[in-house]
Amino acid sequence: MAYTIALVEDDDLLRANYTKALERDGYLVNSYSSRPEAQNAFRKKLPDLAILDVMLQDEMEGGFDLCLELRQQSPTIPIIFLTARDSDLDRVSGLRLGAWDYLTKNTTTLDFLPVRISALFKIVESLSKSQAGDTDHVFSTGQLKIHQERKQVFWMDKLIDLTLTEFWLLHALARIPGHVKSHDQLMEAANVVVTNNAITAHIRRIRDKFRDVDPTFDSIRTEYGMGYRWLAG
Amino acid sequence: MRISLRVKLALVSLLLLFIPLTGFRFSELIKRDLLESRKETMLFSARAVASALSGRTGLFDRELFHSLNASRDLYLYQLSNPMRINGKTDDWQPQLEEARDFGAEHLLFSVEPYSNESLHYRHLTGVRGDYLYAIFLVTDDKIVYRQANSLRLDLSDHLQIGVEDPEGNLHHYQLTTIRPGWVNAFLMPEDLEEKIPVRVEPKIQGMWLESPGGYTLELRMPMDMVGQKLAFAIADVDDPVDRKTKALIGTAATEEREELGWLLSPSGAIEEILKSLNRPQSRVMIVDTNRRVRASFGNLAEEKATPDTDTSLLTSVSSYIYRLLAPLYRFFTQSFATEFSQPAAQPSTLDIKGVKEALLGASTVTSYVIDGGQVEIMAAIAPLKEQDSIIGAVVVEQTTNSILALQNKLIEESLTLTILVFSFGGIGLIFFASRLSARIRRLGSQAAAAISDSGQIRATILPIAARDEIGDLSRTLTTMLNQLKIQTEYREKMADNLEHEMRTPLAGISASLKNMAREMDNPPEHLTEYLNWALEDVARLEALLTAVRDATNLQEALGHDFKEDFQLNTAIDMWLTHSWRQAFPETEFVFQKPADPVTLHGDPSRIRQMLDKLVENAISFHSPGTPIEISLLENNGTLFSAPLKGVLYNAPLRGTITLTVTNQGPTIPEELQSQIFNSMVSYRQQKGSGPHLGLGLYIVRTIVEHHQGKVTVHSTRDGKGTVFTLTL
Repeated sequence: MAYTIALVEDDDLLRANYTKALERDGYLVNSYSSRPEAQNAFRKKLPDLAILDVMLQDEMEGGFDLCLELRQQSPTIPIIFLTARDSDLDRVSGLRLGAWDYLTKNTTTLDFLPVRISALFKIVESLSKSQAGDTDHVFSTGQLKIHQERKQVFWMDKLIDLTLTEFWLLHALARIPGHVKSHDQLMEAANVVVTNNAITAHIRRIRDKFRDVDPTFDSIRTEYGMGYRWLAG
Repeated sequence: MRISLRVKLALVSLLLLFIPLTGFRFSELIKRDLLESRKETMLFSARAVASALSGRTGLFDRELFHSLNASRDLYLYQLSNPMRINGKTDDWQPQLEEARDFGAEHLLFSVEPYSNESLHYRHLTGVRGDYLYAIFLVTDDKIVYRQANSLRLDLSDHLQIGVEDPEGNLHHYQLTTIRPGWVNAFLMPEDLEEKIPVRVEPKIQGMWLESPGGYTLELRMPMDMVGQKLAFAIADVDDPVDRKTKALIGTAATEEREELGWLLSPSGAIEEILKSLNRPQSRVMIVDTNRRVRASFGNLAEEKATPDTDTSLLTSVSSYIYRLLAPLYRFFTQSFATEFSQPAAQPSTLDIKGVKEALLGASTVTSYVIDGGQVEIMAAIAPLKEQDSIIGAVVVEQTTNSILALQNKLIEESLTLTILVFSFGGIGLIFFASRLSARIRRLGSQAAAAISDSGQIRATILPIAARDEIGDLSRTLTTMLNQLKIQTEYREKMADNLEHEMRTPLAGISASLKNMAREMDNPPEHLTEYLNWALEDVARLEALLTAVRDATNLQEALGHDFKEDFQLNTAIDMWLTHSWRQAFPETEFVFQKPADPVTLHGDPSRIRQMLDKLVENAISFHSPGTPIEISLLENNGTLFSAPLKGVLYNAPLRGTITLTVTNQGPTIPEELQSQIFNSMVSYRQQKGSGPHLGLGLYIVRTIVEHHQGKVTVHSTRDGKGTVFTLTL
């Protein structure tokens, strides 16, 4: 059964482009150009996944409002923000509202969007499976535990709420502790093409999230000019 | 020389000192006007008195104002001292001053040519009580006394008296003596040829005393013997043998009734009339054609003002101020005596200007000073006429004291006012000036502080609410700064907005291109090539946008940075090896580093980002084939590494790190050197391969400042290169 994806995007051309690309990958795409339109449709029937732009026509935070409502309707529906707004504040706001991922519109979006969507659907599937009693693949090193299917990370048995990008970056780093991962390797692992600075920013946010749980966290090391390294134990 | 606004305004306040000048001028005008009107009033009253007197028919006949002859007429002075007939003159004072000289012009008869030494005298007629007194101070070179056995009185120095009794009968008397001492007059027969006296007249007594150069004859006779006419004549006999009268000098000829002079005295009747015309503080005098004062009434002295008993605070304060300023007042005011001696009413000659003119028919006003210039007296003189003939003059006199007092008061008040205005005005002006200059200084320092050396707008000026020019200026400056700030912000924001607005269509283009690529089955190779080119260009555009975003979001992003201590020298080594030398293989890098590790507290990735920009900048400006020099040193007071070409370190602070990046190539004009670190400012002469928005150095500055450092740019001393110096 094909998954239904709701795409809320106010730019007509971009919406059409993304719709076509996603349909080509076999998804059923319902696209909406405004918040009220999408809201009405969601009340009738929930999609399997929602891709939301933050700014919708003249509503600066229409996407956030939609996300809030969707989350009330279903606590488990995967929501991805896809926006031109790239400030940390927006990113944090979006993730706080319960979005599963936060992507910026750029030239590489189409290279990674399908991968992410399928990954999210896999998580959904694995969640429903684990509820049915199946075991997850758990990778652990030191205080770190990574549930590979559910894409959940625990530090000292406390859940670290990472986005998908962050999860993949951390996973790539921690899989072989002590090895330096270059920017390129990390980019590849996270299925993104971004600048060095973007990787740096992601790493910084990952550190911050760990520090929220454990202020003494210092396992991710910067190797100047080379990359990053996960320190074992 | 810099003169502050305060000093200038204080100098301007000196202009207030001109206030008293206007006061003086004003008081001068007032004085002149007052004098003018005073003159008119006095002249008017003089004329009024004249016409009032002319109306009295027969008054002047009775008071002997007609057909006067100055040389013959005798004036009867009111003697002020009790008289003793003793031949001494002291009891005649002060009226003796008025004594007339009799000499050549009063010569009635002379045998030989008259000589002044032979005979002349001074004479005064006076009255006191019921007696008429006369004194003769005779200068006579040879005194010849009467022979004791001679009946005749005219054979020695003698006095002839011709007097008209109140009934109008003429009587002749002669007086001489055989020795100095008491003398009596003798009544002479009516027939003048008879030389033998009729009898002794005991009522006419005198004292004959010798004096140096002559003799003094003092005599008295009862007033009831004297009518309206009187004449005295002194005969001089020099030869004691032939005893002929050699010269005769008289007030008038004594023989005939018509030839006698009038005996004139102050007129009680006229004074009564003057009394009824009384003017306060002024004196009215009637002068006859002989310019003798014949009637006088009034007092020049001012009435004593009753002392002010008002003792309110204001008056005590003002009197205190007055006492304080009295010396100053004295310097500017004209002082005058309020008490002065006034001549008593005497038939003395009124010797003031204008009397003569009045006697010729002209009214004048004149003034003169008495008491050594202490008092000025104004006199209005009008002719006194009766039936078209001038019979005298009316003189109305008044001191100018009251006017002077008024003038002085004016001057004093204007001085007081000036001092008050000067003090308060000066204080006010200085206060105002201080406030003004303080406000301007505050505005100036605010304006100076608003823009930093590097051209950044740090703060805005708080507009002053005052509705004046400074307020306007501050508001204008505020508006200017705000506009500048808005512009700067706009310039910085514009990049952000541009980036944001362009991102979506760019994403659209790339999505379309990718859709296209995927949906084409077996595309021709050249189409794939075009697609890839298009995608490459899109990626380049995006890279540019990302650079813009990084720059504009930098400030915000820096707040989330994680700072740590790291070894800068090792880091630079690593970056050189792994990044810059790999990125620019054709360029030589020279890194001068200290032997000891240099530790920096900061965000390594930001430092890297910043150095990336500096190196990129150096690469894009360097002349091909020349090396890029990077030098690092930790300042411990001495220069660490060999100084770079032309770089001057001006005593960097101990403990700071100095990092320089030097390239050979075109230099930056000096006027642009502080501007170049601003957003969207770029100085490029040649067009480079990559896109440039002038953000690189802005990023450098932002990061350096975030690390509490400083970045400057200079040309090397040889002028062939550019040095960026970071002090951290």
